[in-house]
Amino acid sequence: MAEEPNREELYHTAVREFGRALDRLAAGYEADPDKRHDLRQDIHLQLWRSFAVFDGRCSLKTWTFRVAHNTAVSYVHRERRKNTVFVSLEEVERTAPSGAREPDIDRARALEQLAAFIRQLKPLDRQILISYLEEMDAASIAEITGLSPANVAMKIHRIKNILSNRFLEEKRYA
Amino acid sequence: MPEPNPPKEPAALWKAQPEEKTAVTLENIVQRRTVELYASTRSEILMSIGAAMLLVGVVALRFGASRDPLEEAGCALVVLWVAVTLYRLRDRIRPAPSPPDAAAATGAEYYRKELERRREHLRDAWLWHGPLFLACVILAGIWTDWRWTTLRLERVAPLLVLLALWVGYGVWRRLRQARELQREIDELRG
Repeated sequence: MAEEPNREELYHTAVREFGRALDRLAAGYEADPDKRHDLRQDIHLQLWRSFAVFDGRCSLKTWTFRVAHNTAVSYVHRERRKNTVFVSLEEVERTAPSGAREPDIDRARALEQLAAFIRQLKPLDRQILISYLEEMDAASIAEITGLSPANVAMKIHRIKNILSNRFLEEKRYA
Repeated sequence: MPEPNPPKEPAALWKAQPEEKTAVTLENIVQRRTVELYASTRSEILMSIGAAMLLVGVVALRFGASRDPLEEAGCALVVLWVAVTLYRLRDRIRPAPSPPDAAAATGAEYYRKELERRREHLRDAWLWHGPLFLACVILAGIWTDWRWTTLRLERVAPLLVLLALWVGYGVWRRLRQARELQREIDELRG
């Protein structure tokens, strides 16, 4: 019988496979580079700690992103007094100014806009949007967030509408 | 100026964001946490030593010339308490875990020891809250001139109740933190 991987092995596997995605996740929660570094450290520490109780009932990927999002959400709550009020996807969709798009935009600016949009969302919607951008399917996102797949699918539909109607359209990069 | 071949999809755009300049390593995280734990424990200990010395000073100033056996006994108790406190604190003030590479070299084991040290510090809640409680009871005694009549007790009762609640909350909070640290220590051992 094969020996189960220990905490260090699990941690290093997770970082090897999802390290870049975790960095991007942190960027969805904190804009300031120094604070983001602290958040990344916090995410890695919590991830390492969490593998002590990892029982394999969900995939390594689900576990990793669940821990990372939860750590980041706690960070957002701690820092909340310094931030503006967060909005939901529903509010964004309702108030989206479709005519306010810039016709041409470079990648850095587009990314900046996308990140700023993510960071104004309520934490749960943020989790869904970031997971969607990481190209996870609705079932995986549901497993990470704890929402039902139907609810996630509805949110993803909204996300697609917002992204295509509001400020990210293919022709803008032409 | 727009880049020549920018990604066209939001997901591609998101995933193509530049890499972070600073890498995160577990060793750095553990080292940082160790130093943070050490610094907070040390500052709390230093504050407590200061508070204990202040308490002795106040008691000496107020009751130094007293010939009342009760007050003398009270003074002796306070001084004894402070002496015990300082004795318990003596080996907790020790050199910082620097240089940083030494802390990093010891890694998780060093971190676990620092966690245990802070846990012991938190568990000694009585040591930190006891002198404060005692000081306030003495203050209440001074106000009532050590005559615990109903009328005088009514005057100091709100203060004593608030104090007891505050001390109770402080002890509970510290013990809860100690339990959380114990959980982390168990994880490290596991």
